[in-house]
Amino acid sequence: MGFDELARIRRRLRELLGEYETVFDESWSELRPMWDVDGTLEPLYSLYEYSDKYVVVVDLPGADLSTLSVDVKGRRLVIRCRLKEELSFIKWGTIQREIRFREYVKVIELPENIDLSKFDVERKDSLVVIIIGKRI
Amino acid sequence: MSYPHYYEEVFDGIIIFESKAIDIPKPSFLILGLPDAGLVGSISASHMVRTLKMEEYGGIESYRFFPPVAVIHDGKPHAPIRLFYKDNVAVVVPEIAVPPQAIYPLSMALVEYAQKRGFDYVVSITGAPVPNRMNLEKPRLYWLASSDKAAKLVQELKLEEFKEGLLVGPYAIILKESVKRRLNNLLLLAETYMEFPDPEAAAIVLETLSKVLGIQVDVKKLLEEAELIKIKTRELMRHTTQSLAKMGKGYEYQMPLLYA
Repeated sequence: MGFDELARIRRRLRELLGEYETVFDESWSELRPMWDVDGTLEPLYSLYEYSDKYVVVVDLPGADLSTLSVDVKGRRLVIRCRLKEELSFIKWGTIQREIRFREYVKVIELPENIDLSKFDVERKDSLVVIIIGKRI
Repeated sequence: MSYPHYYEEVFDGIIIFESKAIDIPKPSFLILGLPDAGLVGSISASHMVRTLKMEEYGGIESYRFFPPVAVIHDGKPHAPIRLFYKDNVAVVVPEIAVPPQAIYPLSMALVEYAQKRGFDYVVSITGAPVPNRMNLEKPRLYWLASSDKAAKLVQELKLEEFKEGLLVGPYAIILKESVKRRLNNLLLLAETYMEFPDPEAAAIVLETLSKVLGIQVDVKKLLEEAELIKIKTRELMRHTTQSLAKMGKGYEYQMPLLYA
């Protein structure tokens, strides 16, 4: 077996592992709530890849954007923002009815080739747009 | 606990039941608020039901295609898709994202039900995802119809027709089947996000739907509660987005090959 064949097998195994992780993450995400007993909510987000940058769009309805914090720790993008006012849903579920929701928290794994020398945060209504450079 | 069914039909594993006898005067409308881009249809339909204080009269269940879900409201179980009505308007309100394997049978079942029940019109309300929704002050509304009779509903409203493109999802199947079976299907599509709930787009759809139906659906409260609605519908949006991805919703960004 030559090197080319080995490289091809290695690439294919990486792809299969990636697919397995995606399926596992999706399945797991369906079991994981977008809220927590500590009063945090998980926001919806999208990650877009462009030729020279990544753009993360996060929806933070009801948030007090003056309390927004966006940090990158290694490859983890950590977003936190308090709600304008605490929310409770007193007829919902079991433990849920006792929780006072007060903050959004989201941790997003970024790709390996980010370039933090280019980093910007913009706001548009309830959307927060985070632009991160990409090493080409 | 079983539902006290008055009437039940089974269409290829989809059960549509009515738990009370109702009479829907003519011209009758069946409004479909299926979860799709921006949850425009779902948000519109649920707001309509609440605002007009519509009465629940049945539901849609599937032990073959739906996840095993009971919607608990006021301590009582309900089907994952609920049917409401008032006067000559019935509304379909799902509480779950339509699983990809349910799209074909559910769409066909809705068309069969509309025909058997004798609805004059089926109105599909939804969003058309656009990448620049964030930069739009006011989303635009488009219409599409399976027949001239359905098209007449919006003739005086000076709306833009959806002329060329691809539609993906249950509304696409319902539209095609409506053409085949001569059912009057009108689609109202508002520009929206693919992956974020969009009450503002839902309000735009409802304003036009009010004119089509000749009833007043007040959207002021919808807009006032927009932020809260977005918070409450995050998980439905997440499940819907996953379902949209699996059904190939991205095809809607594609230009038809024989574009004229």
